[in-house]
Amino acid sequence: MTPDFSMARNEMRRLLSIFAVCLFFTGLAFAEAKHTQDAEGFEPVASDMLQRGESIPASRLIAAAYGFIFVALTVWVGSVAARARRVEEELMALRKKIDPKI
Amino acid sequence: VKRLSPIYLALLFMSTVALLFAPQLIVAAPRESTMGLVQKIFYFHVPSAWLCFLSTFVCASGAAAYLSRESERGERLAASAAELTVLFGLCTLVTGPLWARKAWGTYWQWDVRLTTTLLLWMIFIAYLFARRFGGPGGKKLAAGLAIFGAADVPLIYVSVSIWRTIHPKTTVVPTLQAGMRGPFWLSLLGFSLFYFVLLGMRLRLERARLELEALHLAADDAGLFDGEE
Repeated sequence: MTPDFSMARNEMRRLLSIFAVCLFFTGLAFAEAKHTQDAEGFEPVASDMLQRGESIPASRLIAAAYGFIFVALTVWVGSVAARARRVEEELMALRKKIDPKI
Repeated sequence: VKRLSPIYLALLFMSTVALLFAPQLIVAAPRESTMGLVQKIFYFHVPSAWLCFLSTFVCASGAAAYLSRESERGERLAASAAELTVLFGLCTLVTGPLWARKAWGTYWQWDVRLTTTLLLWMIFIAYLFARRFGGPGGKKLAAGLAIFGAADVPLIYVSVSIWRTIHPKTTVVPTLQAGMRGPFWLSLLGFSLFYFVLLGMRLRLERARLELEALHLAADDAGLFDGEE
């Protein structure tokens, strides 16, 4: 028996309509904001926000930022590779169980 | 092991070339007048944020397909993209404060852009938990969360224009100096191509899992697990 998804579909359509209306108003807000904002580049930063005598080497912060991205991407790729290997091993074991000649 | 498609290999090659070449341009790019050297975080911070947003929309599209048409492909796409949203969201949320420490004198401000970005990241953490531990209705709950999360992205984008904030405005990229444009766009291109490489890699894992599930069901139907706990 095929399940009846018509009610769920109607509800989904209603939800998507609400979402579209929200997006429309956000777009309007964005257009208005774009109209009023001044065309400036990077905001000037008051150097007195740092306490006197405090000095952070920028190179260390840049190295930390770039290093973090590199490590995060490497760890994620490693995790996907490890998960893929586990699934492959399980697949092989199951195939052998189904057909011992493999 | 299944062979990689030529398109996938081409994407991998192009993104590698772009990401190897971009740091050289970033080093050679002029220093920003008020922030100096630390502004160079911008070249990786903005592409990370852009990919976080792109991934959110990819995830929400897959989730909408799953909720409206029960599309399993959509669900797998959403799950793969959600992990990348969390990954690039984390990169944005870590590199931003490192830049802010020098530029604003503090790592974090409960500024509207920072707060809404943190909220987006937390919504997608919730997505992963709901999908993994949500039980029978977990995938649907997660899909709803993904659509809800996507509505936060336009808000994040316009927040700097609507509310008072210390975060740089959206006019920064269109008004970049000539020497800064090249490294930025190359970095953005490299990251974007690499995003599709990562998405393809994650989708392969989902397909392998699907195959494993189908094989388990077939083995179960054939009575292969009879007598096993």
